[in-house]
Amino acid sequence: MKIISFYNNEKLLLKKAKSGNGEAQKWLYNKYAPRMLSVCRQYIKDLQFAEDVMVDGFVKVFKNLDSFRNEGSFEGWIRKIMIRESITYLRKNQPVVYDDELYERSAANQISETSYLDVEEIQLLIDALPDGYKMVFIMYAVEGYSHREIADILQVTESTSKSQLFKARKVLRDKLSELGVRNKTKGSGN
Amino acid sequence: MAPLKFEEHIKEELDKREIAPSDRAWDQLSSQLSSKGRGNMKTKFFRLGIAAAIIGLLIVSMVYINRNRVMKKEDIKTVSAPAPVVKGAPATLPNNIGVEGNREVATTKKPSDVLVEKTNKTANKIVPSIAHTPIIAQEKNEKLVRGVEHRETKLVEKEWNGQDSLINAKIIEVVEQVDLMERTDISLTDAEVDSLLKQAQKELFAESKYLEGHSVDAMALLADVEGELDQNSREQLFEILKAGYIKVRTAVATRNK
Repeated sequence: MKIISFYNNEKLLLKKAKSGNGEAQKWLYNKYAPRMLSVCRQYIKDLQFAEDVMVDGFVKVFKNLDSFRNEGSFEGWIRKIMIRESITYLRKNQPVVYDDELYERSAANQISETSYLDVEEIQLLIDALPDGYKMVFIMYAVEGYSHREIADILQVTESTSKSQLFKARKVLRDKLSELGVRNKTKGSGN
Repeated sequence: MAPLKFEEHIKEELDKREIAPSDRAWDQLSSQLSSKGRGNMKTKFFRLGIAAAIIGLLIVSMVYINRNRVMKKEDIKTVSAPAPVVKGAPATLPNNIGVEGNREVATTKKPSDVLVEKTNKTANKIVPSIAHTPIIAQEKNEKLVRGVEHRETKLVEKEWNGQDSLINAKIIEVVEQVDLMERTDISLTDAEVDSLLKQAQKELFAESKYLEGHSVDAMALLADVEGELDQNSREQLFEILKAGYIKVRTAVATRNK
């Protein structure tokens, strides 16, 4: 019972982790690593690279625990670190091009039914996006950042962020309509 | 499906998702954390080392500075200064002493006297404390003593030079004695003349000592003990007397011719 109450007290664990307690650090890692790896995977196609980025992110988390003031949730704080690490990784490996050309493909095909899309399919759709579109789309649609915040983090203008989101949505719609058509075809075949 | 609904669906699905990391991920993380910890420890030790070195340097420099100060203090010890009475200045000093103390000292003394007094003052001030000082201080003190002695010897010349009237009187006395003896047909050898001069020198010396005796002078007493200094002084006086005697004799002989 004592052990359970000890581990339920996250503040105490954070304090111990700050002082370099390995057990507390491992407990925190075990609790948050799966969700954080998911976050990193949203941005990085390769799972191994995503894991490496997550590990680097956790190193930063444990190294900078002193700067966590308990003002927001600890998970939210770690998540921000992971997002920044992922963005840094993408930038480091290849320069991100924020393509301003209009996505030429028609957006006429609207999807009427998407409930069949599971998370793997969604991830595949996101993976297919160019890095610039992908980063803005995830930050805006999934993480809930504003265009101003995105512009600050990515060091672009707000209008670039908006245009990148617009294009990302267009591409996704196209992809979804393709999938829908395929699905419908499969369904009718059955 | 409207775009917003579609995005909400994506968000829900992604938020729910959890991907279990591989076992190697924790090993990698823990090794990175421990290496960082070691790095921090190294940095801490390095900083501590620098701090310790600075403190050590400060302590050493403070000890060094303090030792220098102590050495300087030991080097120049102020001794309870005896009255700066000029040794061997009988012709002028008694007069000066008798001035009832109203006149300023600087105005009553001859420049040579002032010089002698100054030297005596320095000699009084800088007295080596050989028994208690370290070797370096002793060497310094020896140098100082030698310097003082040298200056004293020079001053002896000046001393006798300042008493021309007394010396001249003695020379004349000797010349008269010799003349008197020559008149009574007693021829004098050089050795006899020398012995007369020696006698005159002794009398002069005794007189000067007597005059000095009226003033209580610690330096004069010290000089008495230092026979070496007196010896130089006597020889010097003898030379002066002899030279004066020869001059007077030559002048008399030239006049008689």
